[in-house]
Amino acid sequence: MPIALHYKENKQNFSKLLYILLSLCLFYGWYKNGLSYVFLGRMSFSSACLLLIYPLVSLFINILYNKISKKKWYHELYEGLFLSLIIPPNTPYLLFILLTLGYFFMKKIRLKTPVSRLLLFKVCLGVFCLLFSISYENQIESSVPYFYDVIDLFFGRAVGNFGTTSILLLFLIYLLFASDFYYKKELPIYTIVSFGICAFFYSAIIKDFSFLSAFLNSHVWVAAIFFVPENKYSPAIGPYKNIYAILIGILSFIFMYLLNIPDGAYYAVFILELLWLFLSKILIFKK
Amino acid sequence: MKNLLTISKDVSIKVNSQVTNFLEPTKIYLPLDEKIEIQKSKVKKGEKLYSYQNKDIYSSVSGQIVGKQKIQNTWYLVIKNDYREEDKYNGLPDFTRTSMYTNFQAKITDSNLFDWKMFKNKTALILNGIEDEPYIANKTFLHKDETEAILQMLDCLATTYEIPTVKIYLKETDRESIEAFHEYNGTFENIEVCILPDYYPIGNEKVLRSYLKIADEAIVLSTYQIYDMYVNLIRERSNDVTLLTVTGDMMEDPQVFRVKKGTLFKELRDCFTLKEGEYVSFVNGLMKREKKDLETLIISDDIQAVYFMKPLYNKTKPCLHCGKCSEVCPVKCNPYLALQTKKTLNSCLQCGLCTFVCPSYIDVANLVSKKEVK
Repeated sequence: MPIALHYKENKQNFSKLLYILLSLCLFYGWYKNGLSYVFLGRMSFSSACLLLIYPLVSLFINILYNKISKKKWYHELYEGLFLSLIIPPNTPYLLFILLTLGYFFMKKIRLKTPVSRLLLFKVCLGVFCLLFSISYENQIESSVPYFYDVIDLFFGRAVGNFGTTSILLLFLIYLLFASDFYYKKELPIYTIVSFGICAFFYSAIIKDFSFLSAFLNSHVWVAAIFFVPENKYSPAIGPYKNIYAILIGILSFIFMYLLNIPDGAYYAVFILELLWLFLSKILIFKK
Repeated sequence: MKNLLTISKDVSIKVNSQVTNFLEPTKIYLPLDEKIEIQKSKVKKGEKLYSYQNKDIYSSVSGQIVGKQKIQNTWYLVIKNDYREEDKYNGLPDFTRTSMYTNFQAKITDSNLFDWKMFKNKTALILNGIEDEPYIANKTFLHKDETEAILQMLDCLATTYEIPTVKIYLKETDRESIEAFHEYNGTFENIEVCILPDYYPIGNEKVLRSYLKIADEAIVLSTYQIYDMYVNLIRERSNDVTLLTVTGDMMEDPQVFRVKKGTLFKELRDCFTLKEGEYVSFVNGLMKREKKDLETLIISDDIQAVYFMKPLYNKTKPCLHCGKCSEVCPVKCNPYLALQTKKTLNSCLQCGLCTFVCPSYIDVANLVSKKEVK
């Protein structure tokens, strides 16, 4: 039967604001990993400019994909932009290009993946980084001793992805996403809070462990905001989705601080998404 | 109640501020059991003809019985209107307040209009003045035109059954009804008018009870029920007219019609014009979307609105698993789970909120209810 009325959302401002916030993330990432060192005389301007190759390459591939898919060249460019933000600052260019091409190829052929494509991109990148010992520290951080306090972590001076270290910007992106009717807004909160509770108890046991530093770890926030609420791969109803988000928070903490895997939050989401793929068949489809 | 939604108004779907009378149908069709044999005789307006499904059936016109006809699996008695409007009544009954109440008390013992035992030992009488669907304006017109009648009936019921609290619930966007009841501010001191936010489906009795946390000690009646009681028991007549909203974005002149019960909708067709182009028609609400053949649609108490809409050609996509359908469900009957497991839901209110919010344009409400199982 035809549908007569349908929920309408004004998405125009949403896209604009998302582009603005992701651009701010990009510029902050460039400033934090490049320009700030140029001002301190520790890096040449040309080296800092090389960092912009990541967003330029991913945007170029995104535009290419749009052209091949016969869409407007500027259609959903934030996807390409975002890919360049969630990589370690020292990612080899070739690896990044191959993974980005792989991401858009999967999208083009509409390959059905057991986990979200974005997460697959991030996990593949993480595995390569583990194999080739690529850390999340930028060139200067890996050569000079550094110390970041809580304020630094909040505003983004931290070890993490190229453009997503700022908790402030991540929080603003979360607020924007939460304004979307279909975004599972409670899931990031459950994940971050459960992660925070684990960190709190751990800090109570281990005295030289900073709860706030752990809580403001940008990897958890990125995983919680961008990966956990993925509609297709996360539980859709009631207690399952809350338990799912809480388990990701706990597992992230185990991976990151007990097993010392800096980007463990993404692996936690990866494992839970795979687990849900099987559990959903038992818990939902066989009801 | 977080589940209820405000449905933003579509400005292209309007309702005229005046009621158009259509009280002279050529024929009327009254439902009857196949076995009942009726003689082809003359009938008067308001004459009791027979009982059908425990309800007394009255003729809404005066005229000649022409026979029986089967329409859409239901048998109907067909009465040809002679346009004389001859009725069985001898003038109007005594309308003084004392006599009204005495008459009412005397009449309820014989009346099968309502289960009167339900009024006993109640602490509150609630009038649900909110339509169950957006874009229906029938209650608003009843409130405007019959304000005093509604208030008198409520007062009468409260006095007879010694119910201490009487409340009328209206939604905040229904300004005409609010103004109509405010004009009688102070006349009926025991009756309180309460305003509710414009949430959907707050007009549904079950949802209203849950939203207001109304216990079983309160009785909830709709404006239609109260007005029916008033006409039958106070005016001592049968309610032979009903209101019908005809609207939609394909209507040139959306209107509310006052029609005789049993009129064939086809007869109204000349009273409004449709815009050029393809359209789909629905009955009784854009959220519930009942589909009925308008050629054979007979206007009765169960038909409140007819819509002519531009078809929304959004192709159904695979489920995104966002779970919004279950989240917005006012009775929490979990349509997502039912959809995934291909089960039907008995507790579904058929409010259509799940279909309304589905980003994949899946007709969840129809799929999970018994209405249309695929």
